[in-house]
Amino acid sequence: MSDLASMDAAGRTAPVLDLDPFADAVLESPFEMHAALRAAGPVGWLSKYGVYVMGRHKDILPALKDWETFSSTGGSGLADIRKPDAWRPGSPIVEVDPPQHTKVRTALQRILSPAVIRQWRQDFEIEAERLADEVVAKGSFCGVTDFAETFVSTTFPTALGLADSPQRRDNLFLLGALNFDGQGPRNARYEATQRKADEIWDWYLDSMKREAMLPGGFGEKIFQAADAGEIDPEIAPLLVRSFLRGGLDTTSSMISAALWYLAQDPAQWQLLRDDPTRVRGALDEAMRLETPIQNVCRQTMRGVEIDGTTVPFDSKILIILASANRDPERWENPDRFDVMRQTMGHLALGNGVHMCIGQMIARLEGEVLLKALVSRVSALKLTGEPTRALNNNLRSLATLPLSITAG
Amino acid sequence: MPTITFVRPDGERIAVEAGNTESVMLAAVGRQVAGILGECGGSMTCATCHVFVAPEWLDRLPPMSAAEDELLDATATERGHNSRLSCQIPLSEALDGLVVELPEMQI
Repeated sequence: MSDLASMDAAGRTAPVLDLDPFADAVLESPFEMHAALRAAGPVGWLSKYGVYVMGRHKDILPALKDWETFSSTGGSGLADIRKPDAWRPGSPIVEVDPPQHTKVRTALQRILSPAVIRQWRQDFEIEAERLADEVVAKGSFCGVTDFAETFVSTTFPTALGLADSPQRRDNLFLLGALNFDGQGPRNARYEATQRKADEIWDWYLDSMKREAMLPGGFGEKIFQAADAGEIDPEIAPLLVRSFLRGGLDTTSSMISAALWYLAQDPAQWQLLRDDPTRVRGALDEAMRLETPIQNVCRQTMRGVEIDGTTVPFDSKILIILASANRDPERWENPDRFDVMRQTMGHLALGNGVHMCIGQMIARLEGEVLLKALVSRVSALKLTGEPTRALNNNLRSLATLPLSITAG
Repeated sequence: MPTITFVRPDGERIAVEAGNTESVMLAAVGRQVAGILGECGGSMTCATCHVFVAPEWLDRLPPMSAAEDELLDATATERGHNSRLSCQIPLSEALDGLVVELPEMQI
């Protein structure tokens, strides 16, 4: 696409940026790119992908709140899901706007109400304590594969009502990788993940069917909401699909990031030991710094001026949430992990009508697991360099070597 | 600048200058009033900014939406006739002197 695409009728142009948010080196460490984006102004033009891009907190927050101008109906990723040859079907909750969105969101909010989620607390605590005992007995362990991923792949599918099987854990993480790779460009990384996912496609399709849902889980309740006429019957399996694809990796990324930051700073660990209710704040701070879902896309429904730069009607904008979450104009010492920080206003869960609907489950999972460790461990230590799992949109660790001192 | 008083379950009263914040929840969080969490930032997902409004103020607040009413059924401390989500109470000078009680639990 020509660079002229970035010029509006008045001749003002968004600066052309020769940056690639999906290159390996940037995925490893995106912070230099974030700084360049913020320095370039409210909005830039990513010539490599032919989309606009935003990176400043003060521009992104109002855009997320204004769904009428910045619509999700073009797709939450780079691909335009409205095109007849779209390679990815749209989500009936994430990629629709009010009024359709309101109906689905209301039904789902009822199914995931805080009262319902509280009923899972005891089950989650039992599993958290079992797992914490296990890693304490080991002394050293991987914070990702032995701990965060083990926990969320046990608790979350059970709450959903998806029966356990030998392949359940690996398959769900593969579907998560596919989901988030699919929000970026159709690059080699995405194609490789899709090829792997093709091998489990029958399992995937079967897992979103009504008969796959065990009684008592929220998957079953989604189908019951369809029975009651609260949502259209054909979208029930698609809502289950959203949870299969989006519920695990994000939560486990938040937990392993929190462990990573805590292991680097004994004083922060001590703050949690002194008052374990600080754990929820620590998780929000980890979400801010890690921003498991790095980007979301919006489509302009009219020509819109963003702090002096006009973006034309029907433009795709890549909104870099991770950049807003470390914007020095919004956050004091933005790169510092501080469990006492007032984190309200971080955008890791989005904002506005599309803000993460599963956040209370994620918080509960993180809270009970970290508390179980905090109550058993006087010191947490990093014993090597962590490694990253590279994905087009999901930022997460692959390995996190830790050792603990019991007490 | 409206002043809002939060009353803890043990009776302690905390008066805060609300400043230019948009809602009672944001005023509380900004002044670090323990007992108002507002974890979802006002997107009506968490029900952790629950308050009991002093009876004389109840009719002076904007009416409750169906969504707020439904979420109040999911609060950690059971709702009363005077329950509201403080993120749904926009601040104005007219609310100067508002008194709300904090529940025992928000999570």
